[in-house]
Amino acid sequence: MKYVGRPIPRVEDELILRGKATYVDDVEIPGMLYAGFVRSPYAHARVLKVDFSDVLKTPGVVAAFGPGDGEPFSFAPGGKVRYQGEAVAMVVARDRYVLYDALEKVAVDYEPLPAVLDINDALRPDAPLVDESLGNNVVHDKVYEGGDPDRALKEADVVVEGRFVIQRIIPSAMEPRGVVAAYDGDVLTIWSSTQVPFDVRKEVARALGLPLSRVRAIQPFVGGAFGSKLLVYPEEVWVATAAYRLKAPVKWVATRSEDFKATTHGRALTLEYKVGASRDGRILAVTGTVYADAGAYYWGEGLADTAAQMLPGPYDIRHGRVRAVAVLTNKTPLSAYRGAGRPEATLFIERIMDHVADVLGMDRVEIRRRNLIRQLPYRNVFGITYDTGDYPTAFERGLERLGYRDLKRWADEEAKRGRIIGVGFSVYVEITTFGYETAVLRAERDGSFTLYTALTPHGQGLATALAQVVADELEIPMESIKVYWGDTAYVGDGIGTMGSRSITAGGSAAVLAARRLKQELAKAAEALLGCRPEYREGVFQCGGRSVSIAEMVKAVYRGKAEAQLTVEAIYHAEPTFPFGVHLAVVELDPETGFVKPLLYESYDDVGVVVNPLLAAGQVMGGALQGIAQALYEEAIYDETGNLVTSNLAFYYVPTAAEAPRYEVYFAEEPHPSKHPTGTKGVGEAATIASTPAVIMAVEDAMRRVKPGVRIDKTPITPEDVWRLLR
Amino acid sequence: MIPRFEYIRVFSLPEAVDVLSRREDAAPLAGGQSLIPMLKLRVASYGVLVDIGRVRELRYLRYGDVVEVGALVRHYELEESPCGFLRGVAVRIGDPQVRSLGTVGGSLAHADPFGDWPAAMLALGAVVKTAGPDGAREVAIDDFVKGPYQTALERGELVAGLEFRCPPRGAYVKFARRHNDFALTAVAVAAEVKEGHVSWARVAALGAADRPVRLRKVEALLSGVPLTADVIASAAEAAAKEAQPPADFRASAEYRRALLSVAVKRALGRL
Amino acid sequence: MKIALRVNGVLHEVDVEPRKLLVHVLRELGYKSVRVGCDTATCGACTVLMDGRPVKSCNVLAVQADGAEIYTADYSDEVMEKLRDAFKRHHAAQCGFCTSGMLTTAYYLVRRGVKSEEEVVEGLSGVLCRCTGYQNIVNAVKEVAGL
Ligand SMILES: Cc1cc2nc3c(=O)[nH]c(=O)nc-3n(C[C@H](O)[C@H](O)[C@H](O)COP(=O)(O)OP(=O)(O)OC[C@H]3O[C@@H](n4cnc5c(N)ncnc54)[C@H](O)[C@@H]3O)c2cc1C
Ligand code: FES
Ligand code: FES
Repeated sequence: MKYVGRPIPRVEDELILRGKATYVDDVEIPGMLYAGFVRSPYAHARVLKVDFSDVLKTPGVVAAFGPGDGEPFSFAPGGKVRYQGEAVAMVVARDRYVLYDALEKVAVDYEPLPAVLDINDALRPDAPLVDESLGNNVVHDKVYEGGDPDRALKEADVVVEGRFVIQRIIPSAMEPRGVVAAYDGDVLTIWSSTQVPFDVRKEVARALGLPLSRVRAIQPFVGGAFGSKLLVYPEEVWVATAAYRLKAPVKWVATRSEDFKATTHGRALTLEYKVGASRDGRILAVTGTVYADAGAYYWGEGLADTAAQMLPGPYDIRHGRVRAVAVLTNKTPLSAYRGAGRPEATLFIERIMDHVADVLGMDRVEIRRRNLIRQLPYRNVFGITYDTGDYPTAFERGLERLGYRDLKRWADEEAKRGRIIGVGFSVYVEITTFGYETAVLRAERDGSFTLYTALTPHGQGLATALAQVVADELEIPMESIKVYWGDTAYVGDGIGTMGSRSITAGGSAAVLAARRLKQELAKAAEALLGCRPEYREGVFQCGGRSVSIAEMVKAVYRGKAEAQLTVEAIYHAEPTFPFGVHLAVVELDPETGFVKPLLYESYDDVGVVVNPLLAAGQVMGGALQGIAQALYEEAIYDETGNLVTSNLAFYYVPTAAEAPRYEVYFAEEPHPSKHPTGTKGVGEAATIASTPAVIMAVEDAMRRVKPGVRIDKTPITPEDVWRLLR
Repeated sequence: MIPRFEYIRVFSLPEAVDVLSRREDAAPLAGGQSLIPMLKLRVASYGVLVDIGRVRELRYLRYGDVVEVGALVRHYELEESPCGFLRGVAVRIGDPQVRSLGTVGGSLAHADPFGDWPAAMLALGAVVKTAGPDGAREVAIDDFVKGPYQTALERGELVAGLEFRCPPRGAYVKFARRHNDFALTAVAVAAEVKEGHVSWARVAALGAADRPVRLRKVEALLSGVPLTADVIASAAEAAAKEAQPPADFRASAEYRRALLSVAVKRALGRL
Repeated sequence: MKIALRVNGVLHEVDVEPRKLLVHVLRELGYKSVRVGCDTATCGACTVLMDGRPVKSCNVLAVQADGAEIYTADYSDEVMEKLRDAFKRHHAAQCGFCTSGMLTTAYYLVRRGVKSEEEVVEGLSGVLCRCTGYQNIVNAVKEVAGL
């Protein structure tokens, strides 16, 4: 009875499909108060005065907090707001509708300041400063270097230069952020739509000077996050503080328009590159600068750096120098969005490969073939060591499995009938998994097990996947394991679900916990049975006698044997590296520039696949996000710093009608990671691989109309296509 | 969250007109599919909302020599209309949920420059029947839409319904960034073709100006000639020349112009 | 204002402020499966069936719905259970936030007798899902619709 590797439907679905899953807005506590925020209409302004006199007179209004209220109410730090939507005050009322009336009654005097919205402008010496204390708008600047890039460029047959711009993305999890906090005089409890309840607890406890043991953070069901809920946001601290001070439950749930400004954005990296290659297509050196449009606060640490360090991708490039620069602008702060630096690195290098191939007149498959890393483990030029895999084999098998050549031929046939089809592919290597994760496993009197994980699933189906790996380790039915997550009352500390790390870090922690618990119980079994037992399928046996886990646990409670019934495992994980080939087929309407994604296919070596049903779900959903980055979505600001795409009507999250058909494959002979689960992570693979595959497909289609056109930005909108084709 | 208002539910047309003409800050509420989002975003607010949703006189749909569409006919009710042209427009509006509630009369009265029905009705040469404190009026569609979100409706006056003939031939071509989003541009054509020659054609567009407009030069070009590839090509060209498209974050004026040309070509190709 | 709503067959008489949206009234009545994901009537997470048609309950005043027959994703009958089963087997829900809207819309489509994949896709186009990429949802609905 092995569960790992089987497409098992999710145990979470019982609640979700009956509408019984509790999201933060579903948390009800008698006496609930509602909090809301007054937010700056300006991108950059001094806050001269916040006047609550009107609002406090409004019936139903309970309290208001503003810049004058001191820590932790860090409204308008330094006396100014730095992006449209930054909070300047908070109002608490008895009713949601009354609250929104009240918010309009807070009088704020602003002195608008010139805003800086574009990284090029922000880098000018006379640019307005987002943060005066820095002296300029560069908040981070670091060079990654390896080999001798200058010599390699000099010796190269061709040097190719260019620039690629990746837009700002609004993560758009379907559930906006929200927080409920309640203080009963003893414990402060916070429910938050977050990926990081442990950090929320730490931050709130620190802000209020409370011991961690009296602060409990709960992650209820979360309606998607995609990296946009992995920071502790000020609202979480503010709402908790209000509940603590008012000794009443307080709820804040963002409206969508509010969320679009108050929740971090993603991507927004630009690469200026210069690469050297030999005539036969070997990339000798990659150099350049990655600029991050960091927004108003530098919350997105490491995004440009990850993009820089992973820029060589799956290719054997021995010389490199990439600068990672983060630039402040008067926009919503930038942070992680599904992939966080790796989709950008992959898009950049895949575009570079195509660019070099064009300059050399080389086939796009061939140039990759010539540069793929042959031997693993491999240390890339910036010092990152890729663990396991066989890239050349996976590449060839992948292209074959996905039918690349056949699809190209089919596109040729269709072209004869006047239908313009583009076929593109991408190759990626991804870095996943970092830090530690915690699992607590308890044996129950009836032989069932309770697993508490520090992971914070929000759609990934980890309660199912964790039950699978633990059931296999304990050789018991999955149904005997109940998985709880997202509550700091269960587990002391952990990190959470992000960065494709969950099943590898958290799953391995769970496996280790199961192993240890088995050892504990074996010790007790030995004492009971008087011989060293074997363990099989929930039963210890030796010398012709046996004892079940349930009997063991009861024996421990009765004092007949000694064992720990609850064990904790804290697993520290080294990074691991999935690899894959993805393919996209699009149809182009050359007159209008409209592009329709028809087919999306993937072939991934993600190590052990715990649950192919769930893994495929991650691939398809991730793919559509990357496709949307290629074709539809972009946060657009006007010249005053007003977010134009300020709600879901203006920001094009694709509907079912935009989605392609998907075919998902996993490598027949995967290369497991060295972690106990053997997994490498699959949550971001397709978000990473899909954008470059689609861009190549669109370019391929466009070249049937106009040879030689090149795409150097995302998204490529119908209007962009139309312009390029003119 | 919506600002406060007084809610008055009316059951008859005279009652509706009465309330609307007495209360200055009153607005009719039909399907609510444009009004409620504006209230929610607090970009609009009214002292009184007069819910006309239950006024029977506004809920009729008759297909005879002329088609009579009551103001409260919902978009979805035209999705399976015997008049093919109406079907082609209705299925391109928003999504099924919006079409469940949104009304034709509301669309006309709202006069969103990117709304589908005003342009479609322009091509049909519809007559807008109104009801107001001074009685009923019939306004030619060409005189009805006065500008973005502006119509010939007087204070207290309602769109009661529309009348038009189902065109012998018609086509509606709409380009939108996301499935059935508001159009970047769209072209509606109603025409009659006799013995291979266009006897008349009405061509209307949205996204060609700050309001839905007729493309008169295109109409003139088509009149009395056979619909050959050449004619269609010159009509498409004329459309681009005639248009003064707006620019916004969705599309530049230049691109809209190009799309319009393609829309005209495709609409004529489908006649 | 006093209104009556029949929700999943149960009659509720409630006193509501006219400005209150149907979605909020339903949630207060305990139908928490009806979710709010936007403020522009775009996302469809709040979709319920009202007098036989799918509507976005965030875009209807509760007073407009007075006397209406409403079905939410909490409802259970043979078709809804088949949909639940198919959604589960096809892994059509991830974070679950769109799922109620998907289920109610799917229920409508199946009851109406959708005839093709295109109709399913167009029928679901008013509910945004950020997680699944839609294919598993479309396949689940197709299966229950016998396509
Ligand atoms: C997500 C979404 C997508 C949409 N997509 C499209 C689209 O693609 N194409 C499109 O055309 N529309 C679209 N719409 C708008 C939709 O078609 C609306 O239904 C329509 O614009 C207004 O009709 P209504 O009955 O809902 O009017 P309401 O919202 O009730 O009213 C709109 C305005 O008209 C006034 N009014 C209503 N009825 C009358 C009347 N009989 N006489 C006088 N005044 C009246 C109201 O006072 C108000 O000012 C979309 C809406 C949404 C929410
Ligand atoms: S909440 Fe988004 S459509 Fe109703
Ligand atoms: S499952 Fe998350 S939005 Fe659809």
